[in-house]
Amino acid sequence: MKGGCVKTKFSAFLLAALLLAGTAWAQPTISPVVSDTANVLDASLIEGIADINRQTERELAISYRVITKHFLGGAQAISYARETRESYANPDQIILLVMVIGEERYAVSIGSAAQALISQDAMDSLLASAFRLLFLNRDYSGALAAFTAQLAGQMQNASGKVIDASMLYAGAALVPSPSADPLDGFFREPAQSMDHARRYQEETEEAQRGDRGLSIWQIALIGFVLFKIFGRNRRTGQKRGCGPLGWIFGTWGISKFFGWRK
Amino acid sequence: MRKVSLTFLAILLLFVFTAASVTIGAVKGFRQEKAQVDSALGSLGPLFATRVETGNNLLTVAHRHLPPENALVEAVARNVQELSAQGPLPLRAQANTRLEENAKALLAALENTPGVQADSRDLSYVTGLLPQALDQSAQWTDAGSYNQAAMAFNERLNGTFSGFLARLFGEAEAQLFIP
Repeated sequence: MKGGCVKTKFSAFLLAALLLAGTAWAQPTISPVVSDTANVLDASLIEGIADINRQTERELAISYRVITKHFLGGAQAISYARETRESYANPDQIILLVMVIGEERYAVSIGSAAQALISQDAMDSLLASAFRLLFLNRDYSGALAAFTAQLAGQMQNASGKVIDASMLYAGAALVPSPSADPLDGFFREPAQSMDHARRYQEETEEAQRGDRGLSIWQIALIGFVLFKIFGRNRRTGQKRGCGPLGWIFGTWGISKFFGWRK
Repeated sequence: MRKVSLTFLAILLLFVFTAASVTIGAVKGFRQEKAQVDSALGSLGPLFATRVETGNNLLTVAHRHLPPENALVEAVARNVQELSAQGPLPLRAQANTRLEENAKALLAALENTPGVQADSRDLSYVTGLLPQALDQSAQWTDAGSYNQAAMAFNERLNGTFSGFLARLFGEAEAQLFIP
């Protein structure tokens, strides 16, 4: 009865663990609306853009994302923007603007569904008219606010749905604050780089330790097992196993089991 | 008589099996250890990408303030190119060491240029972010950790009886980086 209860509890625990794992597996990658890794944007502007994104997602099923980075380490801004957009869940519904501060470059990647509302040509012209000059003058918040307002207007005209961009200008003070982790915006894929570094460190430490062969306890265990299996029975005085041959196979098998080599 | 010869045969087999067991174990064990060392070396390859990125970012800033024919700019560009090439890892590690020296010299030269002094953003890059990234990526790609692992492996290979057996069956020493 008690065993059955433990078994039921264990099954329930296993089921819960599997369900949790399944839920975690099914969860799509959630990207922040504005990923300001270069830390050059005003907080209220970020809120305003999140508000615009909520409206475009609700009304048009289009998501708007912005990334700022210090550098791209030699990569093309448009390639980075395209690859990043494609790594998101529902990439066809995303418009992604990448601002590379230290390289004075920018790029927009538009998903195929979003291109029904704004073409690449229209986007380029929007960037040239509303974004470029302010961006090159290092007014990053101003450039982003002006561009986003124009983009919202363009999407409103193309869809006939109302997109309210009035939040964008509210309190957009253009003072960048120091970043908590500036290197986050420096490397192209910081998480991946850190993961590689951790693996390299672990592997070098493991390789340095090496395989130390058998410990004294393992040798003692082999001796004990061999004795119990093949030794003489003290009570009856009779031999166990078949003498030396038993030791041969015992040594062979057990030494293989422990990877004996020292 | 038959019992004695069987016992002798059994003892002979005992020695043969034990010797085979120790030899197989030695070769197998050292192969696994070598694979670990090689795997560590393989992990270093992708990390060089962070050095290439850092070098390129430094060059981006340098091109704004120094002519492309500047000796240090050229040296860093050459090191970045050597590091990006799919050549043998020891050669790339040597390029990595040279990049460290040249990049530091370039940062010092950039800091003193009037252009950087007049530009608060680039000054913060030259005095803050770029040296920080250079240090971080150098720490990640520290060839010394690999060298220590390779040296420990070589010591075991050359200093133990099982290492002697493994060498007898063709196990070679792990490659070391020459700084």
